[in-house]
Amino acid sequence: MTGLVWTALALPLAGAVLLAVLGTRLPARGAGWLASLVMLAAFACSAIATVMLATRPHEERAVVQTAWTWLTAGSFQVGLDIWFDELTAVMLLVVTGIGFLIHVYSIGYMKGDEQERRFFAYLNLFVFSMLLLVVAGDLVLLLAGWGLVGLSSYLLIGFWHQKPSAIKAAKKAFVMNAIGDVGLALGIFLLFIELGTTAYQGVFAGAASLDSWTATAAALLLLVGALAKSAQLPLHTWLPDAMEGPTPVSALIHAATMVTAGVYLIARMNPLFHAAPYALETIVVIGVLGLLMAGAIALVQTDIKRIIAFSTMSQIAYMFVGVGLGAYWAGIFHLFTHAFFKALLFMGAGIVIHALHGEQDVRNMGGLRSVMPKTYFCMLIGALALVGIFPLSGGFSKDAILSSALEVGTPLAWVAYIGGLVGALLTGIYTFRLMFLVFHRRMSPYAEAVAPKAVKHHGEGPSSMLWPVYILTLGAAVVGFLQIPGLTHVFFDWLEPIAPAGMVEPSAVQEWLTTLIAVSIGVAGIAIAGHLYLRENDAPERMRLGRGRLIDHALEHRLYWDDLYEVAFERPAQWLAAFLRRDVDRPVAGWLPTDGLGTLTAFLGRSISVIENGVVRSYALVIALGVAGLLLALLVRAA
Amino acid sequence: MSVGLPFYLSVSAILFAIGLVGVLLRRSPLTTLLSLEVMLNSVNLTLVAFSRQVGGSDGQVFALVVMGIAAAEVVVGLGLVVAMTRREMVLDTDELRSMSG
Repeated sequence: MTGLVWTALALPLAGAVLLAVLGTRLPARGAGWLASLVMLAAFACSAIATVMLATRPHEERAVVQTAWTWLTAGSFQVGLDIWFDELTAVMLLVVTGIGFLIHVYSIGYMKGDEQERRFFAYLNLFVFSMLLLVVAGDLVLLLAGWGLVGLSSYLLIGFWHQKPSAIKAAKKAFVMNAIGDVGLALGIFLLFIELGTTAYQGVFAGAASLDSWTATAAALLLLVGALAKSAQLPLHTWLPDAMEGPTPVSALIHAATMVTAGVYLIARMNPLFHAAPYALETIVVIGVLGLLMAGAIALVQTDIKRIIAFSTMSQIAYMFVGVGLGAYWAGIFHLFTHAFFKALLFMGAGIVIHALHGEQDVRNMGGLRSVMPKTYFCMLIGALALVGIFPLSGGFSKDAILSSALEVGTPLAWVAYIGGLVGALLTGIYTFRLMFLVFHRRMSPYAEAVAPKAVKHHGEGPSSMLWPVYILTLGAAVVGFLQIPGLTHVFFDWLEPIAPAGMVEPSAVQEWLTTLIAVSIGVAGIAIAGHLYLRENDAPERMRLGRGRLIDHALEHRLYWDDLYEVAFERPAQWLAAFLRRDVDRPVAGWLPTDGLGTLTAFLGRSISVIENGVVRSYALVIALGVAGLLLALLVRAA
Repeated sequence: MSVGLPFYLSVSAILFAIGLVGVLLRRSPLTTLLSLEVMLNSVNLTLVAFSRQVGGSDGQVFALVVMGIAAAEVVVGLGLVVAMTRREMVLDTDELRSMSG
């Protein structure tokens, strides 16, 4: 069983290396198929391993295996450990399964790009990093995966490196993630100082013995890492910009897998967070603020991918609320269903963008329902699942989170509950604003000129792009049935052992009540969106909230977070640099001959280069004399 | 009188000196390689002699390794000499100084 996990981990790495080594010797089209095949094999391994895990008795399900110890310092050891339990299995299936579909989709999407091979090599590298992150059995190894994921995300966001905006976005993502990495690393250091180990077993066992301040500090530091990776307040500003990368990247990394790593980290480290109650409450607060803020900003965005990006941020905030309330299973369940419907929405958006020759502005779309009926149907299912309409998947998981808040019942939980319901209203509005602007209404002149012709010639897309979308549509429709309140408990039962201190489980009544409220609110949101955007006469391209310009302006500028960071960090750094140059560097070092050091270095270099005369015999002589001198010195010392 | 360690070491030292002088004085690459071999084998002789004196087999193993490396090195060296001959280059190490700094 562990052999299969190792294989699943090694396959994408092998794929990436193979693609890098073979390079142009591989036909461009072959690269995609090779990468996809590798992913299919990895998925098969994960699936079989999961089945084998399921056949074991409950108490034997957390498997730890050390391949070798690669870092030893005194009693401190870091092994190449894998930790395979129920949570790992869920993450493995999501990463390899959704990853495989997105690889296949990329074959069609990246067709004709000159650097297809590089793309697939990066994509495989990403999957390897993500798998390393989820199977790691040691915090240091987790940190390695964490960093590698950030690197491959950077490479993929900046994949089209001829676009300055893409490079800028990649850099921004990297810097933000680096802040998170530092937080995570400091948290790990603190745990090591206190517990003397970084292996999960030791940390879980020792977490309860930590005093609550230390535990809270460590948990908050880990949380910084989780916030950066999952694009949550206040380290979220990189995610919308990351949409500069190719759309499959957005689907895989910035919707289904990498950005959910923070949720995974909190769920994984639940014994530590359990010992640090303030940390859990912080998570809930950040989650509620984040889901409301991202949902509100999504209302006014005009780039189709950015709307979905803010939606992703909002949905991950729901997951944070879930794990923060102690309903780890609900957070992971939402992660699971979200991977399906959000990847689906991104891939549908990719098909639309493809048909419109790269146009991403929703104001240049419209009326595409008649031209692209298949895409419309699939995205409609995805959108309904996102809004949480019964009986599609998103509803079950979101309602599980909200009803857990009911079950907890503290004042903060009530805030989360109300906030979550308001968020559901926002979700309904922004999601169907997107659907109506893209697929309904009259066609914009641009879409009319481009889309019908493109679809007539190529169909809605190559089958390599359509089939993954169909499969995801099916998934987005049915995976919620794993956990029907009062009927099926597959997800809860499966994940129950990962939290030794127990998990919050709402009663069926609470869940059905929440579902009733949330679905009505979601439908209301859709109705509002229809009222605002389906009428043809006035064309409200943007949501207008009241007469005041202030709110609109604030939302369009994403509540000024980017401006805040610019004023707080970017400008001071520039001022400091300018000051140092003008008032320190010039007065202090200005009197030196400008190339004094340079001349000296060059002179030294020239004088030493004399001995490099190229005559082998003289080199041999120098070596012989040197050895003789050494021997002489040894003899003198011995005597 | 048995042949003891000093004899082996003396022979080895003489061989090493001959090889070194060859490397330093001769200008033909072929002769330089031959002289290098003499030096390597003089060291081999020392290794084996000490190994016999001490009674272990470590020195002999080292000698075998040195032989293997020497063989590899000669292959490369002779290959270069042959290539240079084919290109009708001057076989004189003092003339071959394109690596001059």
